Amino acid sequence: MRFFAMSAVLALAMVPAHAQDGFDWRKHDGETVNLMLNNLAWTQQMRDRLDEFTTKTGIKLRVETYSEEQYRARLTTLLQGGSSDLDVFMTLPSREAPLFQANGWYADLTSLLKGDATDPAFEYEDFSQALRDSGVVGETVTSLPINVEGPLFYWRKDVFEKCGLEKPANLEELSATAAKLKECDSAITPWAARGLRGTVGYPLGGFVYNSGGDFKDADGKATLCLPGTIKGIDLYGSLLREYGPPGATNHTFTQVIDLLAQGRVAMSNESSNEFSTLMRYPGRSEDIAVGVLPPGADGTSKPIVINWSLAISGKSQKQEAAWYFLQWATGKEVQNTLAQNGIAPSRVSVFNGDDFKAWASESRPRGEWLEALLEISQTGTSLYQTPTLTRTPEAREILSSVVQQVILGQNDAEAAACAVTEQVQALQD
Amino acid sequence: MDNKQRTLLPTVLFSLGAIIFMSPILWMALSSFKSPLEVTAYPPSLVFEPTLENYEELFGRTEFLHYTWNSFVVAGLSTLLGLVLAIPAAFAISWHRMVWPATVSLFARMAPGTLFLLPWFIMFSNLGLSGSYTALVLAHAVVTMPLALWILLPYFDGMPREVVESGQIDGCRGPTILVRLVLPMIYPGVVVATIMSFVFSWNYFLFALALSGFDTKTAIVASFNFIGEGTTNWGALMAAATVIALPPLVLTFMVQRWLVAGLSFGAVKG
Amino acid sequence: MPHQPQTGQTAMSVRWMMIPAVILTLAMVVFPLGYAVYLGFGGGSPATGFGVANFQRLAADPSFWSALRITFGLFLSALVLQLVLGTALALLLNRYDVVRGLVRTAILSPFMLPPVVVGMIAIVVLDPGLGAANWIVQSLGFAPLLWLASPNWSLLVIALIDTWQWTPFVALIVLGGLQSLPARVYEAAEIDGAVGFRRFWHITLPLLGPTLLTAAVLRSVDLLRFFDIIYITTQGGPGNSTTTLNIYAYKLGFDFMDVGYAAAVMIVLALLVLGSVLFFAGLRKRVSW
Repeated sequence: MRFFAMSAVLALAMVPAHAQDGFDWRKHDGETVNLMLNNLAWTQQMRDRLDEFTTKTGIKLRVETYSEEQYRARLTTLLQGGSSDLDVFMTLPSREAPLFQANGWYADLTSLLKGDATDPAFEYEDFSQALRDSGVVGETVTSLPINVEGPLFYWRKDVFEKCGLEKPANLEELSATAAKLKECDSAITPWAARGLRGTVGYPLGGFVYNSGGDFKDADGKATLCLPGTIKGIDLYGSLLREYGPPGATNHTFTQVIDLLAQGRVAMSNESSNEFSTLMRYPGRSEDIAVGVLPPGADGTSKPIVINWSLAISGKSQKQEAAWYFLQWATGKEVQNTLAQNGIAPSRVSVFNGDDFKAWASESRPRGEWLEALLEISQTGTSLYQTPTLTRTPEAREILSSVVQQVILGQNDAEAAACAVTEQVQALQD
Repeated sequence: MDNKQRTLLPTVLFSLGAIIFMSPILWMALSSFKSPLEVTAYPPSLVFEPTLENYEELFGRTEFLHYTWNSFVVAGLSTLLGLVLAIPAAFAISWHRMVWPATVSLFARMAPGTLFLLPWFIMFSNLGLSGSYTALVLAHAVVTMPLALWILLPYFDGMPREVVESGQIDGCRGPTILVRLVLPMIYPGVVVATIMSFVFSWNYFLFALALSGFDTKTAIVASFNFIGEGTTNWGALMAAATVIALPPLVLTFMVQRWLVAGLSFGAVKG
Repeated sequence: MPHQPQTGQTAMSVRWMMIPAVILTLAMVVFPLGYAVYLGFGGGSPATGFGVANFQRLAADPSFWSALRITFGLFLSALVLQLVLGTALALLLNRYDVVRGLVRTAILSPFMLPPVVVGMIAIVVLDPGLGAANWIVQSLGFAPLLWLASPNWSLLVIALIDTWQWTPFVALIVLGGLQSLPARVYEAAEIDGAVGFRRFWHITLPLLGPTLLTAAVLRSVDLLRFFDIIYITTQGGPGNSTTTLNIYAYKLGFDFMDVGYAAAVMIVLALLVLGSVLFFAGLRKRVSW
């Protein structure tokens, strides 16, 4: 997939020099829009800027944020209960778009995009193609991407130098590197990554694809029982088993990042969203390096890249006012500001823009981070579990259980991965 | 056993018990004064420079004060509602020596809370009450009412029937007898029931997750907001946990003597 | 109420004073239960149609049986621990009436804490690499433990957390029972020369039967539905080692959005709780003194 393949020149050519002032941002002055947001770095940055929207449009915003588990429980309840109190919510298209669309939970953005409720300067086409596509179900636009993200390879430059090591050239060298790290510096844990149920697929996906694996066979039938897939699962699980911190099967991003930030882990494959957090810890902006996950032995590199999006509830009574919020929140101006606070933008013009580049050039890690995001957005894929239309969460659960068996040494990767074949096929529509 | 031993053994035992029961709570409170980076430091820092930054984050950058107030409103009103319903019911059950109502009310506590979320949400949405204090108070009354009933029953049972009968002779009706004659005699039970109801309502998490709205979110639901990709703040989380734990702890301290006497749940009666 | 059945005048009827409480229970509990039963039997799901399909699926679902086993495992281990430790604590509290103020508050505090807070403390303290628990274990010269991250021990650790929280509660109930035991029984025993453990085993414990059963009823209702702490710490893992019925039903309903099947699991769970209450209630009638 090519996210930001368009050249900056082309992107710039699509932006009118000055947005037409004909668009009436104050059409819904005095209305109130309810937002429900998952607690991400994006959300934290936006909270401080929501007043700007109210000043611009006169539309009042009421916001509630929850951490992901609670967010999902509440969102599911509100949507299943057909609540009209909900106008705008955050959605993870790669996980839930087909299901939500099938249930009628998304408002149709296609007509809003075409109608005169859209600022001519908005430019839907400015979102990179693949990110746009993530929110399209059938022919319908259901959501707009707010960011681009993916797991990245973080490693401790200083420790590597001390031990005379380089960034592993491929995934299969990872274990050897970890072994050398363990020998060279016993105070540091060589590797950390997610092991908690339901969270494993995201950092694991790159291991599977780079090892030549997939989540379906040549006939399109769902399976984990392929040589490359087994290899990827084995690499991921063995690394955590042999070189990971104790208790990895309960770890998600919080623990992984804690360990990395406190300088207790030498390598990890963790979300690009955590980059800014890491940089806040003393010393890390000097000694952390970041890049794309090493390729497979044959050079294959197909990392995971996804996006969070904003959607309007199908039951919302204020869809047009909500649409105004979406336009503003995903617009160029806001994305440009957020980009300079470490939120990777979904718009080509912002990603390739001078401001973001200037921000990234201010420090070595920022530059590496931008490079890595650019690369994964060109070579990555958003599918990291059995392809299903509506049962993705279950697919992720099954995948997690397979990986946990390997981490815990209860089963070898092949036996664990092949034992669930019937289960994963049952999920395919 | 000489006198010294007599006081030494219990002192040691109870100090040990107090340490076991109290140290996790103290650890939480201590952590809330560490910088966010220090909370999960290993080895843990015992000596550190205390900071108020977590509390500044909690009350300055989020509306935690407002959420805490919501918790007080919901816990307070649901306790009141629970007692207003449970006191007359317990009086009637005890006077008529009924057995089944107590068991039935316990049934309200038997069903898993997750089972209630969606039906209640649909019910309150249709009544136009979703996100209101009313919905939360009614939901929490399902927790407080049976609890108060179970605590109060033994007090009513332990009261001499003659008290009620003397009221009857004076020509008083049921409610008057309850308020004038019975309640003054069993007020320790009412105090214990009030405290326990308040604490259990305060502590309840799941119902508020589904039923609260923008303005009625409770502190316990809001406390999770300090976990998130790129935003996790252990320090603020520990500060939130400490703030939430404080009212139950203060209440426990205030009424500990009565709790010891008041939580028999009818166990001592045959 | 007084034990002796009184045949005298009970002319006054105050049954009507129960009505408000009954109305609340009907409105808030009966409707959701009915709705769950409706969903559980396939109502609202055109795919399965009305029938017992969800319950047939349940019978053939290994995850359901595993969750049932784990629910019972947690229930039994935590209940036994709490009854034993709670009784011991109650005996101490009863014997030494010197415990006052802060110390008593300290001992009583845990069960007043929100389970959510207990879960948060557990995440921070029990993490094998980041938490204070392993630091203490290592300072004492032992090998570090995996705590909640071990598939073999996680359920027991959950049971221990719950025991930490609820032992004082059980102790309070037992203490109430102890203090109401007739003193003459003890005096008689004293004359017979029964002391210490023998007196406890042969005299106190049998007399405490009904009290212990009351504590068992109250704890089993909570333990069978156990949710908050698992939801916050392990979310049912590692593997399936802490996936209780309630956690499984939650996952089905809120993650997998399989509402009908989730309702079926919850109905089974509710019946299980009802069964345990009736079991203990029946047992209590038999041992009543």
